[in-house]
Amino acid sequence: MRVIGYTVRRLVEMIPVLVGITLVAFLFMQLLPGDPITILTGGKASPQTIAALRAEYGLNKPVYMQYLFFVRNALHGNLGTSILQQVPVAQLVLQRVGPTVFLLSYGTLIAVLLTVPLSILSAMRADRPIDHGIRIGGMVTFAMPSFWLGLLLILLFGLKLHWFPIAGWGEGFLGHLYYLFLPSLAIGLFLAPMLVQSLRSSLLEITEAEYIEAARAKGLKPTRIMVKHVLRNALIPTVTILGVNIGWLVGGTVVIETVFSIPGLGQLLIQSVLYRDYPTIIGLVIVFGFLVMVVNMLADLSYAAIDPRVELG
Amino acid sequence: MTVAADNTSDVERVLRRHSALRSIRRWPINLRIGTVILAIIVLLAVFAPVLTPHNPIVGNFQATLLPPSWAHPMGTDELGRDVWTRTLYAARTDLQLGLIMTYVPLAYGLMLGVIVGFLGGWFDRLLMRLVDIAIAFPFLVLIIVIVAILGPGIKSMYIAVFCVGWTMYCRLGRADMLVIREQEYLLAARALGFGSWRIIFRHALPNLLAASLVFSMADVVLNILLASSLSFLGMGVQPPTPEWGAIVAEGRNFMLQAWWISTLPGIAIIVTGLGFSLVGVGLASMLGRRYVQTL
Amino acid sequence: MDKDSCKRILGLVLLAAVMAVIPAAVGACGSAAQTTASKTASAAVTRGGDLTLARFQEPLTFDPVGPSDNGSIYLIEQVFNTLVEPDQTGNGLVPGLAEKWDISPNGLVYTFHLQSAKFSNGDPVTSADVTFSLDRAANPKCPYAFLFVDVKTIQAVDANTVRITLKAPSTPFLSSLAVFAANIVDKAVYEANPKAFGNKPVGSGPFMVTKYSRGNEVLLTRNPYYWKLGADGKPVPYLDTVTVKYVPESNSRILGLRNGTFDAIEGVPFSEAKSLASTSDISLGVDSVYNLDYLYINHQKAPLSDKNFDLALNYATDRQAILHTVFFGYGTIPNSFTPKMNFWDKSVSLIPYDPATAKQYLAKSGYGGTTIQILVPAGDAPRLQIAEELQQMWSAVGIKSAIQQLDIGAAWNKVVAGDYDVEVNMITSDVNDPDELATFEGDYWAVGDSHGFYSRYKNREVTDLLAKARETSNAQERASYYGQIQKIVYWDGYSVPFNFTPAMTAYSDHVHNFRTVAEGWWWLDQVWMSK
Repeated sequence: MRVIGYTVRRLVEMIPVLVGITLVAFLFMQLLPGDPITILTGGKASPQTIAALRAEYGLNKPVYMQYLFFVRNALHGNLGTSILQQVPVAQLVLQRVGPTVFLLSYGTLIAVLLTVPLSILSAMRADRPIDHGIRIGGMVTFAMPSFWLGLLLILLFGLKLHWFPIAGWGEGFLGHLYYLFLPSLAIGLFLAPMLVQSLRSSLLEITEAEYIEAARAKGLKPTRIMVKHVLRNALIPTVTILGVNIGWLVGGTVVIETVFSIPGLGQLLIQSVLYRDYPTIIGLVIVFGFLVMVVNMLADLSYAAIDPRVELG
Repeated sequence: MTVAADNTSDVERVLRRHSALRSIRRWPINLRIGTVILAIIVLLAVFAPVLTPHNPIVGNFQATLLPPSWAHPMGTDELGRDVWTRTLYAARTDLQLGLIMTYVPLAYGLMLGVIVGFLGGWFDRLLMRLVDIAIAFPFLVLIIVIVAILGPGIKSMYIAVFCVGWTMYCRLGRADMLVIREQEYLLAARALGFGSWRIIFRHALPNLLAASLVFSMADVVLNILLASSLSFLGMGVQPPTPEWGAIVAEGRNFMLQAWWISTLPGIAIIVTGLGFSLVGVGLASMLGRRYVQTL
Repeated sequence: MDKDSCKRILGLVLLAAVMAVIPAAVGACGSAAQTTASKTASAAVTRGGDLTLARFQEPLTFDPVGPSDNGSIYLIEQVFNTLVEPDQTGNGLVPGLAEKWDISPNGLVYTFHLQSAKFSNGDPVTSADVTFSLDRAANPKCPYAFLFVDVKTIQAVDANTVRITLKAPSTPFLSSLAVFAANIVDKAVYEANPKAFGNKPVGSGPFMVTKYSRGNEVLLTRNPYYWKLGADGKPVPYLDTVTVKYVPESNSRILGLRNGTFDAIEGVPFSEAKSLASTSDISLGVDSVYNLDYLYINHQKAPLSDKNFDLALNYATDRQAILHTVFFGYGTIPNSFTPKMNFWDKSVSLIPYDPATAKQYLAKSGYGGTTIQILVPAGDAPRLQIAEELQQMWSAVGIKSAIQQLDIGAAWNKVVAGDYDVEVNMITSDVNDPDELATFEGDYWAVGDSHGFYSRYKNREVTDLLAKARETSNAQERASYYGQIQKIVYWDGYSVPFNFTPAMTAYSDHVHNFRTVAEGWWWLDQVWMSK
């Protein structure tokens, strides 16, 4: 019950932020030079054509009116029609949200799968060569530009070894898992080092705490202590970092999506901004904002799941 | 999230840290190695003209895409410019980028967070909403808009980052402040009649700086990576100014037959990133392990 | 007689019929044209299979009226037909949905007799569909309406005949009917749901759209009702399906071709072309298209308003170096301000690379040292490289410049507003009559107010010559006019042209007949794959 109440409260709190974001976005659209119709028609159209098309899209109305229309429509679930692609924005976004969310989740999963065992190994063999190796390896992949890392993975696994596909996102759940492995690995290799650093030091710190001494005194094996007692407490700050960084990633999947030809929201965002497709931009800004806040909320919820002593809110 | 801090040992640590800084021998090994790496990069950047006879901007159209050789240790790029030279000069650009994009927002972000954390009330709620908006708004839209209005280049990148880069430091400062403002030594200071501002600046800030400083090491790396992503999208540093990420981005179009163009600047980013990360980790362990959690 | 010579004779007869009916001035016999008869598929064709084609642009809609991006246009051409179509090379015109047509002696009335053809849903193609589609194309809201400005009325005479009356005779008119915007749509389906048509189009072309996943891929399936016949006497296309994938990263396209994921790719980077060509089971396609890479010059802004300065820019640019370092030798140095089209005059001499002469012209123009802003659309590596090379070459003669990468929208906005100095960009033609582009680029006072495609280049003599070339139907006269226009405009320093850039595609050896047409797209209905 607490959980549901908390979730509802957080969702409600998102609304003013979403409104704030759309206001900022609308403001930016006004400041942005260039106009979608001129770009769309490719420069060979006459002024009458351009004027007629602008009127059709309601672009000749004053800004505040456009904003009010938008809000009224949005409350009915209608996010407008894309100027560039002539389809409802909601449909465009729904088609593309899948790949992006899948990519982020998969990337996070890989990051977590890499982080937990590597951190435990690192902490248990602290200051030994393997610990240094893991940490330095992490610092290296952390510092690689994502498009470069992506291209290297494509070259290695796509061409030389031919193990994984190099473009697109496949059909069906298993297809997605196969096609998105390389890009998600690129994301995971970026996220994991920060998480390993944090988790490792938390593990080390907590390992020295009293209740762990007590467990050891009771004769429990070190691994078991590590997993059952230490890990739970150590995870909390790590989850924070994960939350912050995924939030940052949500807007930043563009590069990975471009390199791996994934039909996600990032590519749509770039395309919309380049072509000044205002309705789509606003729609995407809302979706991105919502995703970021949901991720943060999930991070907060997971604290409670990990450690029953943590109180929500 | 808030990070617990024990006030008396904080003060002690601050004192110990000042003396520790003076005695390099007591530095943890990663801090030492990291500092050495960074020092080397800085020296390479500063002494670039001495280390190479070639011009990083002017190309030789008869000598394009040459593989590594004695004359050109890392080959030439598509305009006939020496890759080793461009990478060296690019160090200047990237170091400048990384430091400015990190430490300027750190300054005002931390300040904001500390002040607001101390004062609380509606300041606090307003600022936190602002932080939420800054975080939730897609950065890409922001940068494209700024570039479209102001034109592309380093300045536009700075402005975009200054708009949103402060949020992490603000949160860190505020989180720590929320905890320590109830701590005894601050209550004592207030009881003794010191003004709020004085308390903030002379007593609280030095402790709160630690977490931000540690995070800033990772942030520098993230900002250099951001510059390279923007170069990939065509919105970063403008040519012909050399910048590591831009050279890697240019080189990717020739990856299959002129692999050397992307490789050296890519390695340069990795090594610099390594340096900053090591310093960060070393600083964290020196200042107390708790600060590592904010990385 | 065997099938091949039958087809050859048929082709010749058809050609003769076309030649007899249309005045030679249509331009189909321009220097670059080839007869359709020589292009028959000779080897034994294998039917069936799926061609996976990787592109760097995606289609935004399948509605012929509306888009102007190649991502959409090239695929629209596979789904619909026009009354008159470009031929196999794209330089000439052949019958499309209209199997023959008559033109009145005064050149004002065109009567088209339709084939018996069906749309992909079985509906017959009637004159009602034709008038509906052409009315849409001519409607001022259509970006390509300027091509139909001379049209007075479009009428359906009977179910299979359409009559178009012009306000004034216009030789390029038939070419305009071949443009993608004039593709014929199924009126009933369109009117039932106009907004959905772009997603689920119904046309009479060789393929139909069975899957349209935006940002990802399009699946084209052969149209069972298609009326054109192949080399084996049965209807084309030979392929069962074409999977068109959107792969924006050029390295991925190349790797995908190499490892067999893709059968054909477009947009091969020049730097990779030679290595692909020398790969054993891959062929490189280098096809001549209506494409010119050049430097747009804003003739309204000082110092570019001075012809001497523009010529200085030309003399100071080492085009051979650019051709070599950016295009890796693919293409030819242009001697024109438009792409190489029908009536291109190869005798117009090239402005040579001569820094000394450049300095003389520079001095004559009184250049004071202002920095020229070179605009480059962001994210385009070859253009950026050209800009960097220009900067270097120009500074060698004393011209200062700075590079400005802007996103396409912002860059275009500046060009349209006249707020730019020079821009590295290109121009293509969707119409195979040279009038459209030459007028756009060279005529300040042309319809559409683009002022010479935003160059603001003014030359009354050129405008007059263009009008004359438009009105006459005599091929030799037209050739002479366009030759003069080309010489004047080019030597006025209208722009700094870099390359008649060819279309670079690559395909694996089991793909046959894959080639790029002059307008930029491909006749996918002629492609077949061996096992």
